[in-house]
Amino acid sequence: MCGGRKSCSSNGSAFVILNVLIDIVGLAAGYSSSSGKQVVVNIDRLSIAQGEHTLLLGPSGSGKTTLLNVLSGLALPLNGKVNIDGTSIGTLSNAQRDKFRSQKIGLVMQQLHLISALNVEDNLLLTQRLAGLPRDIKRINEVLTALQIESKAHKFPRTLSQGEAQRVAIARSILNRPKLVLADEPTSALDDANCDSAIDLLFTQAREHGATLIVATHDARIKNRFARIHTLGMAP
Amino acid sequence: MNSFVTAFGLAWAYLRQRPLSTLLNVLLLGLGVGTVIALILILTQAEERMERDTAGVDLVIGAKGSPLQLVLSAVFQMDAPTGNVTLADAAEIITAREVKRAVPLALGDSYKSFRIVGTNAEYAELYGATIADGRFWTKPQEVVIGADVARATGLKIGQSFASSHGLVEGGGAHADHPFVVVGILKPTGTVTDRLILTNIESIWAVHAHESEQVADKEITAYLIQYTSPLAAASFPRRVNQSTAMQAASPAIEISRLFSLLGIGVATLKIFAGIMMASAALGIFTGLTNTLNERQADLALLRLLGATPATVFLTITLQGFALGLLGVILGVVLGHIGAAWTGGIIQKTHHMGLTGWVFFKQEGAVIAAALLLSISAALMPAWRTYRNAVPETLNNA
Repeated sequence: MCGGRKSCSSNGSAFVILNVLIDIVGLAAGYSSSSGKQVVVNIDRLSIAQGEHTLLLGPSGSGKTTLLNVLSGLALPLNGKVNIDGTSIGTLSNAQRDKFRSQKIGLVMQQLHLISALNVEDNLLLTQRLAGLPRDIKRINEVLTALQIESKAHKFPRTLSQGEAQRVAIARSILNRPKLVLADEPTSALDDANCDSAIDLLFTQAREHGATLIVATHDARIKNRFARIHTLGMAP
Repeated sequence: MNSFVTAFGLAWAYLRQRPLSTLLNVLLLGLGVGTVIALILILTQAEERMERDTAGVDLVIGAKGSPLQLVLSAVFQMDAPTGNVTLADAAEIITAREVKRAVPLALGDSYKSFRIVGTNAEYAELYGATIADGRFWTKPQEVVIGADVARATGLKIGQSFASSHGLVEGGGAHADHPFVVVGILKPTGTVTDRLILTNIESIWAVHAHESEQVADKEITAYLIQYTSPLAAASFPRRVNQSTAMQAASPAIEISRLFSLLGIGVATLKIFAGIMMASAALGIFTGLTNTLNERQADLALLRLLGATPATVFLTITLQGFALGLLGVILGVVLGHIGAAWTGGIIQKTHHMGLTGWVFFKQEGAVIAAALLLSISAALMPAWRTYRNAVPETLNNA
């Protein structure tokens, strides 16, 4: 917590003036249960500038996923404010948050889920459709080519290797040109070689599309690839 | 609309992902729906046919035996006659004051399995049958043929043919007493379409050598019309008790026949219902099972921006699509089945049953099957709908 705040204030301030992408103030996040509100993560202040790729580090249960859920608008904060690209996501309706997420945020999950019944191209077409964006095959080919998996366009997910599926997941996360790419343990299921190439691809694609990368992990292998690290402690 | 198209596309993709279970559910539903529809087609047509054939006939009088057999043979021309009665025996009864009209029938011969009926012009009147071509008979051995007979045998006016003894093909031919066609009847949708009508004397002439020693001429049955409906109360009993003949009411016998058939029909309907219910159960368990497997898929849909309603629709539409395919298959199978059954019956009974008619009861069966399929999908869909995404994301 303390280390995180330190890095916030020292690194963050230089960017804040430039272009703030994420601004968190007094956040308490967790879940509501029958026994009341369970706070999993507390953040007094966190600012992340555009282009400032950030690693969220912390052991299991430290609230990494909870924070990602809030950032992606899947869960509402219990307390505090979360601004993403100038939008206070706490004030959006459910439907508005769904739309905001599908258009502004790319997601990469720990297990690289694609819709099993659809081939790679249809998975990507669905991603455009669900975001309410026009069908754009050219864009899909462009992204698949950039990730060197254009030959897999008509393959079904179960026929892909783990590395290929990882690339499709990355392709999907950047397809709609999001401002923000959130990745939850994107490498923990991968061997060292795939881990390296996945992070390389994430960085390359984020740079090329002007997206900011936020990766939550407990995977120490990728620690030294990030300039900025925010450490989450155990909940009090 | 957009989310509907998305949901339908996804539903279809999921169904194609499991072709075997999809096929099985569609087949099960199709067989169930098909059985019910075939039953509806056959029974409704048979009932309509029988109603038209019974119209105007209050009572049948003939030789003692099974009353149902008497009605079937004399009114519907389907069963063998119970025997013959002599003109003398019948004379008193048919002139009773309760009887408005008594149409005599003499059966026994056929041509290419179409029955030759010796009667008088009143028989055609009973069914409103009029001449389409040619004229009615004026003397023995002249015949008027029904529309179906003309079409099936190709007999034309002026052509003559030899009848065969008995009501089915294969009896000995009466080559010495050929009949000549003098008229063709308009189609009436009744029993007359599939009969060859002639006067009674023709039948007597053909069989003269067989009944030489019998002093009295014989009649197979009389179709009776009452002067008043009140006659039904006592007249049949009088015939049955005071004469060597029996009286049978077509209305009573037909309802008896249908209640007998009803057991078989009910069994078939229950069987079809079980098939449809199994199909619904198959849809339900299929969707519930895949739901657990596809939990992550469905959570992903939500992550990608699909509304809960879209996810709900994706599941519901799978049920609907299975239902629709099953119903289409069922309607096709049902009509083919009815046409096939009708064809088999046609060979022996010339009932004129077809698979190519539609009844509004079919609509009810179709609606019920669709509703069943959608309801089977509702519970799994509801469970998905209520699944909060963030919790699932943790597991994803």
